[in-house]
Amino acid sequence: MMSMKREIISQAVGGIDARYIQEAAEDAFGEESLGEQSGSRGRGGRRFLAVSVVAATVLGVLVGGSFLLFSSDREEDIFAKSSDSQAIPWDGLYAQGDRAEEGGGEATVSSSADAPEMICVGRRLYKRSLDWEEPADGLGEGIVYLGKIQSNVSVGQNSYATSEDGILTGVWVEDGVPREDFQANTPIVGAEVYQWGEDVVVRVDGEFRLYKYEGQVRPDTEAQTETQTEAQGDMKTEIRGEKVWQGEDSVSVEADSLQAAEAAAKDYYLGTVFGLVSMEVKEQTAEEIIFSVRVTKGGVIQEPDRSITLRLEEGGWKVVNEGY
Amino acid sequence: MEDSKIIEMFFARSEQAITELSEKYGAMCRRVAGNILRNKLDVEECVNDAYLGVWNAIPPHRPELLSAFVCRIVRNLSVTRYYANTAAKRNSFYDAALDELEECIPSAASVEAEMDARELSTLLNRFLETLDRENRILFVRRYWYSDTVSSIGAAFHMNGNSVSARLSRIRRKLRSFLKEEGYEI
Repeated sequence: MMSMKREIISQAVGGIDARYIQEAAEDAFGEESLGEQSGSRGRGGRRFLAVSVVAATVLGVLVGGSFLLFSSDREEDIFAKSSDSQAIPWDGLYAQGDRAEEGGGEATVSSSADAPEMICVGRRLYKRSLDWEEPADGLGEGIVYLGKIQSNVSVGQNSYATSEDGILTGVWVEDGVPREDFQANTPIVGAEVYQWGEDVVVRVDGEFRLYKYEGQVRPDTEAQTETQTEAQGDMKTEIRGEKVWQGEDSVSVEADSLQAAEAAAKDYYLGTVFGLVSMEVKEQTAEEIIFSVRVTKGGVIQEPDRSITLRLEEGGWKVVNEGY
Repeated sequence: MEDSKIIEMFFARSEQAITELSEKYGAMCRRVAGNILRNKLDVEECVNDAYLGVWNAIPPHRPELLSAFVCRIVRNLSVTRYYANTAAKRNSFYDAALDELEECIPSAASVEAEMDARELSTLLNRFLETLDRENRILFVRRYWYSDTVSSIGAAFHMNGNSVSARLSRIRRKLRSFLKEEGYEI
């Protein structure tokens, strides 16, 4: 029986103002699932980010071995070669101990089918633990039914974004990471999902599979967990020198230059209290680039997006302005 | 679907409103209930009861924040059920959160004699006003949503120890705040 004190405290906490509950819910569940703000997938819908040229390519390299950035009729296909992929720590990207063990400690990435099995529930990403077996004495009473897997995410489909004047500003790739609630990247639609401590178990064909908690799905980059973002940062240099083509009749963009500007912007934010979530080319000339930047502060997405202006000076990009 | 449209459906007494509410906030509601209760049937019943509660409340009520409105109902029902399940072991996330908070709230005698839940609520809300947004979210996620330290840490890109340390500092502030209000701890 609860003491009077605990009961009063419980009731008092229950009386916390609705605006604070909403504020925390936005943080916990993302804007998508909340109120009037949820009309689109984030503020700009699915954002096609300049930064995604890097991020998507890295994911493509890691998920698909080699990743076709764009294919033109001139067959000037550009591949981000995966020659260095052996050096990429798989568990650095996916924190997938199982994989490292399977590969004798080295990553072996050969096809999209190798993407770890993941599900997204409540804006959280869970990754399947392959070596887990259901305890002989069952899962106990500590499991809570959450719902059923409702959709699958495809792998390897690319999308492109261009500015109004036709310049390619971003490439987004279906990386196989679930980003919708109750979504999986394997065909297990209809499977029941249960909370089990910090992790979830999924009942497939009468058997439970363990999916370990991986991280929060960020509202805007949608599929990027903290570990993934770190790995992408580390991998950035691996794809330098590639060009990105917008298409047969389009303008090509020197990805080197864009990436250098992006790198300078990223460096700038490293020295601030902000955590970089995403960048999008807002304006671009030969000598000046303005990125619209979404940042977090203490893990909380800041509104509105910030803006950072870089100018090409003495062969390098320099930040000349930053703010709202 | 936008909250305002769902609310209009409730006003129109369309049962589709429940479906839309469930689709939009079902996972959130289950998580709120699941943090307090450890039984899936209890969770489902509380969430369904909450939908019924929303159905009965709207109209005439027109909540400004539908998510907070339905979550509050879910939480109240879950806590009520939790107390009703006297056989329940004190092992839920809810208990862990309550244990932490208990130490910085006035003693039992003081609470019972001088302060009722409503008054304490008012003080808590005033205290939350004094916190910055980040600390406020930490507090609410831990003590209202009963989220685990590790899940909060994942969201804030902090490790569990850092979250615990931060929460401890917030509780100390709360303790001081209540003391300043004249309540002996």
